[in-house]
Amino acid sequence: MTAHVLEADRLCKRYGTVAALDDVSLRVGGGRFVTLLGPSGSGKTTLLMAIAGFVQPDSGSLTLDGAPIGHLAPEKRNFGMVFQGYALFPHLTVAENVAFPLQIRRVGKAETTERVKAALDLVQLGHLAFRMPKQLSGGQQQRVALARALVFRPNLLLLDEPLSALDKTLRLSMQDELRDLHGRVGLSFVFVTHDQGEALAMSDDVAIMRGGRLVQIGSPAELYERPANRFVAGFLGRSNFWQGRVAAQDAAGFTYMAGGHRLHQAGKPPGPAVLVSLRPEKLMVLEGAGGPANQVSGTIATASYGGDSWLVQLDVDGLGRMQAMLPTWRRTPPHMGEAIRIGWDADASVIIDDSEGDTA
Amino acid sequence: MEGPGRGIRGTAWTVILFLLLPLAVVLPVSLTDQPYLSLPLHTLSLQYYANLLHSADWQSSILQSLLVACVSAGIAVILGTLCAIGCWRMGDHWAKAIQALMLIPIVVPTIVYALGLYRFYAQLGLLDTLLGIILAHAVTAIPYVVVIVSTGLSGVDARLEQAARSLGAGPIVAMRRVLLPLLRPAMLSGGLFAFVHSWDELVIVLFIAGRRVFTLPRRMWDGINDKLDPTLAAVAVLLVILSAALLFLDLWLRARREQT
Ligand SMILES: Nc1ncnc2c1ncn2[C@@H]1O[C@H](COP(=O)(O)OP(=O)(O)O)[C@@H](O)[C@H]1O
Ligand SMILES: [Mg+2]
Repeated sequence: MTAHVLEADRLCKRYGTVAALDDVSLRVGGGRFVTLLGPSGSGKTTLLMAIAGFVQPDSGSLTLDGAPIGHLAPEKRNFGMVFQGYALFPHLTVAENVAFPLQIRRVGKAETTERVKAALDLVQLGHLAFRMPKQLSGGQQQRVALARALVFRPNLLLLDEPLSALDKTLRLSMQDELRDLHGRVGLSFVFVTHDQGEALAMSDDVAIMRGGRLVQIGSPAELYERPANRFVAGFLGRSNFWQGRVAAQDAAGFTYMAGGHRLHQAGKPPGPAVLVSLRPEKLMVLEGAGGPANQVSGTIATASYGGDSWLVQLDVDGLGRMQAMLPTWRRTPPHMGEAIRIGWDADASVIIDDSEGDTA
Repeated sequence: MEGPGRGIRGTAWTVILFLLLPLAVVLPVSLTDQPYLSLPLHTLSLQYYANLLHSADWQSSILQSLLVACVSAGIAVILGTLCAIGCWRMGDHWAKAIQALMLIPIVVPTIVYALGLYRFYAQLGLLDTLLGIILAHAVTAIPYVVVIVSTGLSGVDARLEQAARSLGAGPIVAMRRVLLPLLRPAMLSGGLFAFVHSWDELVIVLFIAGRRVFTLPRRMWDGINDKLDPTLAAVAVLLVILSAALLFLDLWLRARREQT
C-alpha cells in the first residue's frame, strides 16, 4: 500500500481574538506516525478538525498528494477519524457500527460482512460483534472506533486524544497496540495528545504546538536532544537552564562564563550571550579526580526516590537550583545538606534559542 | 423505614381522589337509563354508547378531531424537531433565545392567543376551516415538541454527527441514520403530547370555528350547554380510555429508551 501525502500550508484560524491556528504548516506522509503534542488549548484539535474538514481555516491550503482538498466536505475526504470519547453510535451494535461506512459506500452485503469481520479481527474484537457499545469497556470501545475508522480503507487516520480516557495500565498497553496496528495497516497516522511520554514513546515525528503555532517538528530523539527553544526543552521532560556570556572560541567549541564558573560547550556560539540547557540525567556525580570538562559543587536540597533513580534538587553556587538524576545502584541514598561535586561533558549540554516559542 | 407523616399522606390521598373522582362519576353517568345527564336510576344501559355509534354528528366530530389532531401533531413534530436540532447545532446564546421564544405559546393565555388568531384568520380567510384549526393546533403544540426533543438531544454526543460525516455520510444521511433514530423516542413522546393537546383543545376552536368545523370538544361543549345529552358521558369515558392508553404508551416508550 502506498501511503498518501497530506500537506497543510500556512493554515490560520481565529476565534474572536484567539488564534487557534497561527501559520501552521505540516507534511504527513510515507506511512509515518505523526503526533501533535501541546498543552491544552494549543490548537491540536483545531488543526485535526481542519484536516478532517470540520473546521474551515481562514487562510492557508490543504492538499492530498498535491491535489487541493480544502473545499471538500468531511465526507468526501475519506479520512478515518477516532474521536475523543470514541463517538460510537449507541443505537447500533458493534458490527453495525463498523459496517456503517461500508453501507454508506454501498458495498455489497457479502463483502461488507467479510470486511467487518476482518476489521474486528484486526483489533481482536471478533467475539463481541453483536454487543451494543454500552456493554463494552473503554478499551474495547476504543478498538471498535479504530476498526470503524479503518474498515473503509481511508487515506489517512486522524486520532484525537484517543487514549486520554483510559486508565494508566490500559493506556500503556493500548499504546503498544496502536503502534503495532500502525505497522500493519501501512497508513499515515496523525495522533493528538497532551501527554509527552505518550508522544515520545509512539511517534515517528512529533510536532510541538503552543498557542496555535507549530513550534518544532522532528523525531522524538531530535526534539529531546536538540530542543529548538526553552519551551520545547521544558515541555519535553525536565531540564536545567542557565545563561552565560561567551569568553573564548576554539576549534572544538567555546568557553563561556556563567555564575562565576568558566564552562565549556561543544559547537558554535549563536551570539555573545547563550542560553544553556542540560538534562538532569546527563549530570554525573564526581567522586575521584579527573572527569568531565565542566565541574561544579553544590549542596543537596531534596531527593525523591523514583525506583531506578533519585531525582535530586541541588543548590549550586552561581547557577542556582539544579536537578540531577542519580542512578540508585551507584551510591548510598543522598541526604539533605550533603555537599557533592557534579559535572557534565561539553557536548552533554545544548545551546537553545532563548524564546518561549512565541516567535519560533 | 418510616413513611411520610399522616398529615402528608392524608393530603396526598385527598388530592388524588379529587383528581380521580370526576372520572369515576363519568362512568356510571354514561351508563344511565335516564334521558338526561344523571346517575342511573333503575338499570344500567348502553343506549348512549349505541347512540354514539349511530349518530352522524358525533361520528363526524370524532373523525374531524382525529384528523386535526393527527395532522397538527405531525406538523408540530416535524417543525419542532427541526427547530430543536437547529438550536442544538448552534449551541450559543442565539439558540437559547430562540428556545425561550418558542415557549411563548405555552406562557401566553390561550384565550389571548385565540383572540389574536381570530383577527388574523379573518384576514386570511382561515376562519371556520379545518386548515385553520390544524395550523393553530400545530403552532401551539410546537413548544411541547421542542422541549421534549431538546431534552432528548441533550443526551446526544455532538461528535456522533461528525463521526457519521467522517465515515462518509453527507449531512442529510447523517441526520437520517444517526440523529433521527436516536431521537425517535423523544419525537414519539412529543407527538403524543401534541396529539393530546389538539384532541381536547376547546378555546381556540370556539373562537375560530363556525358552522362547518365541529371538533369533539366543541360538540361536547354544545351538548352540555343545550341538551345535557348523556351521550356526552359516553364520549367522555372513551376519551379517558384513549388518554390513558396514550399515557401508558408514552411511559412504555420512556422505559424502553432508558433500557437501551
Ligand atoms: N469553536 C470554537 N469557538 C471558540 N474558540 C475555540 C473553538 N474551538 C477552539 N477554540 C479555541 O481555540 C484554541 C485552541 O483550541 P483546541 O484546538 O481545542 O486546543 P487543544 O485541542 O490543543 O486543547 C483554544 O483557545 C480554544 O478555546
Ligand atoms: Mg483537544
